[in-house]
Amino acid sequence: MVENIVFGQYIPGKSILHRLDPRAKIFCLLTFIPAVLLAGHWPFYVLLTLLTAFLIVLAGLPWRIIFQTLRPFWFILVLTFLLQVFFTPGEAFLRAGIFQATKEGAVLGGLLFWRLTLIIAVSSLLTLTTSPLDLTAAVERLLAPVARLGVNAPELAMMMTVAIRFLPVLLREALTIKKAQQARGVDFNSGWPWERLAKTIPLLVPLFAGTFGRAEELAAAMEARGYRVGAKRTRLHPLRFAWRDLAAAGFTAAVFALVVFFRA
Amino acid sequence: MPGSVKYNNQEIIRVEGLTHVYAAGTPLAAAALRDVSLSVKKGEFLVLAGPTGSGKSTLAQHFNGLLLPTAGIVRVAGRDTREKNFRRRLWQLVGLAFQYPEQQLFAETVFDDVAFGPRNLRLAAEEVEKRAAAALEMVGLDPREAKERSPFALSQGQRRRAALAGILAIDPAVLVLDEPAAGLDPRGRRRLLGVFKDLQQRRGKTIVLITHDMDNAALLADRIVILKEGRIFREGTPREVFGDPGPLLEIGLRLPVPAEILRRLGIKGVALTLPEAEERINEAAAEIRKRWPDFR
Repeated sequence: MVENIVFGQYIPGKSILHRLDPRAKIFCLLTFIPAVLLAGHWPFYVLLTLLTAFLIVLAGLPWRIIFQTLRPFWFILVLTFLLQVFFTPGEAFLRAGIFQATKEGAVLGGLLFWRLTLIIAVSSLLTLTTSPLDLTAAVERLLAPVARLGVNAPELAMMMTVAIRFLPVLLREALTIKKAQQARGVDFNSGWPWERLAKTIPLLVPLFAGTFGRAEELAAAMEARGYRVGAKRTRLHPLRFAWRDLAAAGFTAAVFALVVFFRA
Repeated sequence: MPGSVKYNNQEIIRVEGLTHVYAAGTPLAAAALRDVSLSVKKGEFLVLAGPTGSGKSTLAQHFNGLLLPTAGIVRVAGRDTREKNFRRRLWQLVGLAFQYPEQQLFAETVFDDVAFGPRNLRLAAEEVEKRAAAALEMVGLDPREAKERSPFALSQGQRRRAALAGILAIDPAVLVLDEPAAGLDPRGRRRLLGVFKDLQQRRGKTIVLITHDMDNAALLADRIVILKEGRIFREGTPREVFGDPGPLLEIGLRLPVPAEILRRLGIKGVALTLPEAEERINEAAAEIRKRWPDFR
């Protein structure tokens, strides 16, 4: 169902991005984000934008899906932009009451807006092209060094996967319950704030109850398939670092290095 | 344009050229209903059937204003569901039970949950009490016990019945039920559907039942509407609809047992129309009674 693509959803495919080792993908993302944040000159923005577009094309996903994943963030994006525009001191080009929009603010806000957009787009590319299972495996492996400090990497990774997996389910269920309570006379769009707060009870209680119920079922299903906490597990498809993974990681690292070098 | 069409006393719901598109105006738009026109008569038992994804549930949600038409008009009791003030009261007129309604239970006791709707109607306490108790009895739950038990301590079947009682307690003129008996055992299913038939026959309620269960559909319905890919595919009395089984089988629906028997007889070369079959059965029954007077 393309109806409700949510941030964090996986869309199966066979593109090169899908086949890349998840560890390489996470590494690339973790170098790409600071590169975007540190980029100081406009040619780098062009480069990073083109790179993002190139990745989207490589992933073989329709553009509308990328826009769809960006949609929940539009409020934050626009708000950051406006805050920058109105609260950066400088040459004013528009006045609205005590607020004044400045040119410097518009530039800064635009940059910030674009940086966040790029980061969200590339982050969603990771989850769109990596199955939760692969993602877990990668996080588990990348956390392996910390495991010695007492962090339970496999369980942490499994929790993450489960959370991501159930986000769309929860969303759908919340909408259904909301409608069911509306059919019993709850008007969610009116009333004093404290009344509205009281109205969330018929929404939250069933949602929590459902979630706990599902968690128990999931636990039973996992145990029935042999999942044991703390057990040593092997994989059906062990992760293998290939040349293309190394190339991808190397390339992103080079971009990052370039950004840092020219910034200094 | 409220009131521009004369309200026909016989019709409680009138749907004209209804098209519903989910996520309209985005690249993800998907039409769930296309140009659907139908009416629901006051006091009738209407069954909505159709394969998964045919738009039954989407249509049902238009009946009480939870969804609004992308194009076309839905009128309930003569008023457009798009009228804001009307929509706010529509839930009192058209009660809607979703699939797996037990998901909506939330109150501390079963009784409080059933009383939630009537309380939202701002009825007097005694009236709320009376309605909740009556609704609980209708679905076969003990009102006194319901005051002490948490809805989460009930069995699956009891939770389903409690949730449905929550809709019945609102006492709407129209009940729209989306697969109310799904997942119940055959006896529970028959009993529950019997409650709704009773409400129609004795209390004059209008019932719209969504179901895949064609045996019960044939048994209960005054009229059956079959949807396919968001359009009306077949419409008529159970006799009319099941009398022509070909198209139904094509879209993957099952037939009620008697219709299926007739169809198989047809394949074996015994082609009977429904009246003929009825006549034969009556003859056979008479013959049996004649030969074995003690046979019961």
